[in-house]
Amino acid sequence: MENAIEVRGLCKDYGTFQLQDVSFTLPRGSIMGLIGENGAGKSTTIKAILNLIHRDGGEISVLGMDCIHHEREIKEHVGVVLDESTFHDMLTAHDVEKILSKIYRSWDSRLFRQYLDRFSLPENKTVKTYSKGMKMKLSIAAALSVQPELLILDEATSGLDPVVRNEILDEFLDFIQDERKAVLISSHITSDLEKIADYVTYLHRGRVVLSESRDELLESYGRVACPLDDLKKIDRKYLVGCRKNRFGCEALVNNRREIQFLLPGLTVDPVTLEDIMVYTVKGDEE
Amino acid sequence: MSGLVLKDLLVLRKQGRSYLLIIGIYMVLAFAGVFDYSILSTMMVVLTMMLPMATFSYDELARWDKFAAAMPVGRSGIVKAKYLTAFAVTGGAGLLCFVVNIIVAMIDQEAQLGALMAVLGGSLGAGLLINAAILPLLFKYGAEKSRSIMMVVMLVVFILVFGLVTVAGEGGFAVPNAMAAAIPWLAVLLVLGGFAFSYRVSQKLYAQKEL
Repeated sequence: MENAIEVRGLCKDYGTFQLQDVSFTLPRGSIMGLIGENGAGKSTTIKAILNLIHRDGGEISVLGMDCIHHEREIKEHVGVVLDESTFHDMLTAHDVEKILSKIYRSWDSRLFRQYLDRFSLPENKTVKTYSKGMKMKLSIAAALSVQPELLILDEATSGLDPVVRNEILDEFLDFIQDERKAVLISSHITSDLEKIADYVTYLHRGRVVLSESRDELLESYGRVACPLDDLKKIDRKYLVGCRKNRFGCEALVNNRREIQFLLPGLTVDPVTLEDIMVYTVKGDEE
Repeated sequence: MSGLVLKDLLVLRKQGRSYLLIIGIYMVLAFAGVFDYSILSTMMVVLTMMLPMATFSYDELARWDKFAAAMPVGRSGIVKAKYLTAFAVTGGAGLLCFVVNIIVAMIDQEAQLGALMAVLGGSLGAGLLINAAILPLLFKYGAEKSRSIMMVVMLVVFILVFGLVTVAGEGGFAVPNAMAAAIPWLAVLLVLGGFAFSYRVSQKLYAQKEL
């Protein structure tokens, strides 16, 4: 089975910001989290996949098709949720249903109503009266009712409370039960991605720092807290980033097992995706 | 694409109701003899000019453009839908004025239906031409900037037309009869050609736009 998304050597130059040689692969049946600090290039990458911007180089294939030559065909099978509500304040969920049913061939009105019920979204109230969480749920209900093979979500859970976020993440996990489907989700909230993502691609200053399976990533990376003298014993090739403090330092290493084998005296703790992000940025700065 | 036209019409629902109220008030005033009946057609031009621009403003407010371009209709469908909306709004307003003109002619024996319909035809053409001029600007610059540009363009056009008419009047210039008969057809050609040209330009501009 072909991959849901293949991005190879994607480049985009905005003058002040460049997306450089971005490559990653999202297999079907999985969820990929796109992480990175503000302005790292997450949204630009998603825009390039959706042809919302013109790329300067590279190739992108979605659902096994070239994303430029088969744009319409691809978009029939892609559900999209962008970072802010995209429906007009004066529209109701009923209006949204009427509009989108005329745009997507595979639109399922019955499914949409089921999601409205599940998310407790009133059908005849205007979007203006919805809370932020409700607006996001409406966008997600709409994206899922397209019966997509691929869901692309740009910061879909940002700004939502943990209860709503969990509810939404559960929907994505349900969605992925069908192994022909896939989800690409960008988020600042790395703890969300730790819960659901099978793969993680980390963008930093327009480049892919790493793109690996979440389990392998969390298994291989580790955090070392030690005096500065001990840090010098660690081969630089294992060091990703370091934070100095008055007691010594904390460092992120990219091969936990190897460090533990080579330096048994050092304690190497497990890390979170947030640690990896923070230390990489720190390491880059230093 | 019909979904996008429907979206525009649904978004304009409330505004449409307000405009109908305004037209209703002008109708009453026209019947009361305060205004000439032809004011209704002129009003229509102003309103049809404002409605497509309003849809762009609402789209910007909702950040709809990116989402719409991510749908199967794509950029070309978005442009097509806006032109269809402009046609639908102008056509709807034209139909309304057509019916009103007939009612006026039935009620008021002094009203000349032919003259009213001629003003309506002219207004429809002007409305479509104004839309043809403004739509590419809206696609290129968005609603806010286009509004200012459009005001300047309208002012320049008004000064030019007013100047030409004054100069022609002072110079004693009169349109020959043969040419006068061809004017309505030339106007239709101008409107259709202008709209087609404007559509091509908008497609090109929007295809290049970074969303």
